[in-house]
Amino acid sequence: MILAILFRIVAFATVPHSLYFIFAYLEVLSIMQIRNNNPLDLTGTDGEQISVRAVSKKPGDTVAFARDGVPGGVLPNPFTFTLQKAGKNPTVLTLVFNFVGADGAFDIHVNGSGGGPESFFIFNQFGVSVGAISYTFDIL
Amino acid sequence: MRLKPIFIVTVLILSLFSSVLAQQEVEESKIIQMRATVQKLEGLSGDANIPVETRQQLSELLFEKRGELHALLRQKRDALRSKLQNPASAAEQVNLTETIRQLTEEMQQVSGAPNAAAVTTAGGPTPSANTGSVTVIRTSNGGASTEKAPSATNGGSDSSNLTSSATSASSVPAVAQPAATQPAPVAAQPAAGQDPCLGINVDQRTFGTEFAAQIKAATCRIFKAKNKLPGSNAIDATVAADRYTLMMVMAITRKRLSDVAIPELVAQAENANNAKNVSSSASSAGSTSLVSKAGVPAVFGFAVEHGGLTRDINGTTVTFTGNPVGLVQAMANKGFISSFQNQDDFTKFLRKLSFGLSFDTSRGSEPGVFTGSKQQLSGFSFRYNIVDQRDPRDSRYTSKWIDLTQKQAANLAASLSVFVDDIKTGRLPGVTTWQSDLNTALASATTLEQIKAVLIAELPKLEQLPLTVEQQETLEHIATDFTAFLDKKNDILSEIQNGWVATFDYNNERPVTGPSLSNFRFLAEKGAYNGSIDFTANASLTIYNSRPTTPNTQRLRDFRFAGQIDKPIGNVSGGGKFLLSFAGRYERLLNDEPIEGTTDVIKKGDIAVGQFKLTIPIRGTALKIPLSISIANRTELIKEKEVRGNFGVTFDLDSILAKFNPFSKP
Repeated sequence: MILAILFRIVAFATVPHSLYFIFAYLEVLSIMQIRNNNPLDLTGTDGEQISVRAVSKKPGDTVAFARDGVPGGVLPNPFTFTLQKAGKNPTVLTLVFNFVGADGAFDIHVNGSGGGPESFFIFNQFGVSVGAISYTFDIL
Repeated sequence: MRLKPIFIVTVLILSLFSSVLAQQEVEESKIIQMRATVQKLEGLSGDANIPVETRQQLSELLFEKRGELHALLRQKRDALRSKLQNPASAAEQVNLTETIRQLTEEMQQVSGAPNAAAVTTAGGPTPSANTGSVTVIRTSNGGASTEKAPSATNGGSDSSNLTSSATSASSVPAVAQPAATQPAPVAAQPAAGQDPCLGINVDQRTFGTEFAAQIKAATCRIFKAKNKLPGSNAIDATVAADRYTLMMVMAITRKRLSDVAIPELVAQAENANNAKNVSSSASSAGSTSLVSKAGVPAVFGFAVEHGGLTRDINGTTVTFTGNPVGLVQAMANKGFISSFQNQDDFTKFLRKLSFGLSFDTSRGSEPGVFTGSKQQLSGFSFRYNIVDQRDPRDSRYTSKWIDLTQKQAANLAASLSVFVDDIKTGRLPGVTTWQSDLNTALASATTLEQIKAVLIAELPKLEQLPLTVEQQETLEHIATDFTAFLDKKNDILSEIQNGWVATFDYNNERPVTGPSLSNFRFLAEKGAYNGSIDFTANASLTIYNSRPTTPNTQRLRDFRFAGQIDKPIGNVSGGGKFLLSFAGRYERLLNDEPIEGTTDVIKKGDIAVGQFKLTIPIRGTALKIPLSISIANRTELIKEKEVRGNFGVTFDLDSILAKFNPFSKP
């Protein structure tokens, strides 16, 4: 991380500014981004690996997942998959939360292999016995 | 000449009566007027087009008016409570209780205070603090009568306290407390440490249980997001299919596909667990239970029953049962289930222990009034839960939940992802427009009530959405997967109901006359046929606490064997589950036992009792009404056949806590 910052400082000081911003823009394009301040609305690049981690507040509560209409079973922790432009675009990842008791909640973290911001979402049970959210990945 | 004074008296009475009526009408019209004013001010103070300073003034005015409305509502409620002391009929009593409940709810909404009822009750489980009087309709020996059980020490409680012991007066602020020290905020802010969402109520009869739960959850999420409360996502302030998927799906399909309705599993798991016995000991005066169940109430159970079963004294027994850990944690305002899951070995051990105290209100210096004094203490008990396989959170069921997730939940996720994709890619333009309209309406909604009102107004519009054949198929897939998911989840719940429960129980009985007794019991319970039948067996023996002075009398007083079969009527996901019970008990009295101060003698011999009981749950509450009829070859005092009917009310706070207090303090 420190090396990356140092590299950028050096690059900013040595490379002409217009070129620097072009490179920086291209770098942004190559990593997972959050759109419209919505952690469920994401973009990524072809071949980028996405990692999804759901942390339950209460033991016993479980998460099921499906991608583009294909059931995936219990969500592994972490669950990783690769964005493929040749496949379905945008790709939709749906999580279904099964609450065994009450007072349940999940923290869901989504990261791209290229770095960039982490998508963080909290799903609180709020009295329901089942809940669902869907992530959309627009592949650039 | 004689007619004149009669005429004058009649006119006076009529004018007095009409003035009372007029006063009531004025009060009612004042309330209606004040409601309209508050509603208008709520709208104006949330209007972004009005300058901030003006809105601030409006907010202050709103605060004042809310206080006035609260006072009027309180006045009306207190008047109704007085009326409830002497209701003309059982129907009127029910109406009054319901009206009082509605007024209390409205008062809470007006004050902006969350419904902390369950927490408050659990937090103060002392008998004098929690018990109001409870009206019990009893039929005895074929006759019917309506009686009013003695009131609590506060004297002013009423039967509404039964459902909302819960909504005890202490939990309702007299004025709008949260904003008392600062100008009223535009959005109602929760009191410190309390969850604002506890006060949300959505009519389950109109929307169905799970859809109502989804609307409540959405209201809460939107409110928390708008107020940037901890644990919320900023994006939750607006509604879209990616984060409110199930609510939207249910709104679209509920009229088209009637199958989409899922049960309230958590609360029903509590209600379904008939193993918990909140009634007094079977031998206590006023008990409607012939056989004791083996479960232990997790937090606090309260039962008041009237009428006798095996004794001739028809007293009123008030029984308190509780779990030390559950009570302490409830008092600490912890969420019921979270407190259960975070347990070490010692608390796990303590949690299996429960206690009970029974008070006979016909005793003491003030007969008929519950004082909770030593004189009224008719018994106490300790109970240890040896085996309990009926906890849905138990690790033995983990593999079942995983299996449900692997198959049925994943299939549901798959069909939901297609639905969301349709919206994201613009194949359901109607939904996109609806979302936009809804979010515009939500922008000016700031309080929980306003948010809920917007959702309730807008969601039905999704029912009218035109769908293509393909989209109709997608929704049918969702309905099929949803039903499969629910069926499987209910199967697991049924299996939980089949589990064993075994308990050891000690009862110390202090009868009005005669020596005090110790009763040791072993209770076992097992479900069968997917929870459709429940078997219970009891074996017990009773000894005198002190050696009897009468000659030829053994220390062992009696031994008993009892069995019961319970057959639930209806299914778990339906609206309430009746319970049909058949029970029998054999008791052998080993000594002739003279009753102090009388010439009566309890003759030794055999007592056999048979009982038929129907327990009626009141949907959406923790109330159950047991109706029973029992036939005995004799009673302890009289050696002749006896037939007796009983009618009682039981109340289980666990169900309330599971339903309304699912959230721990952060």
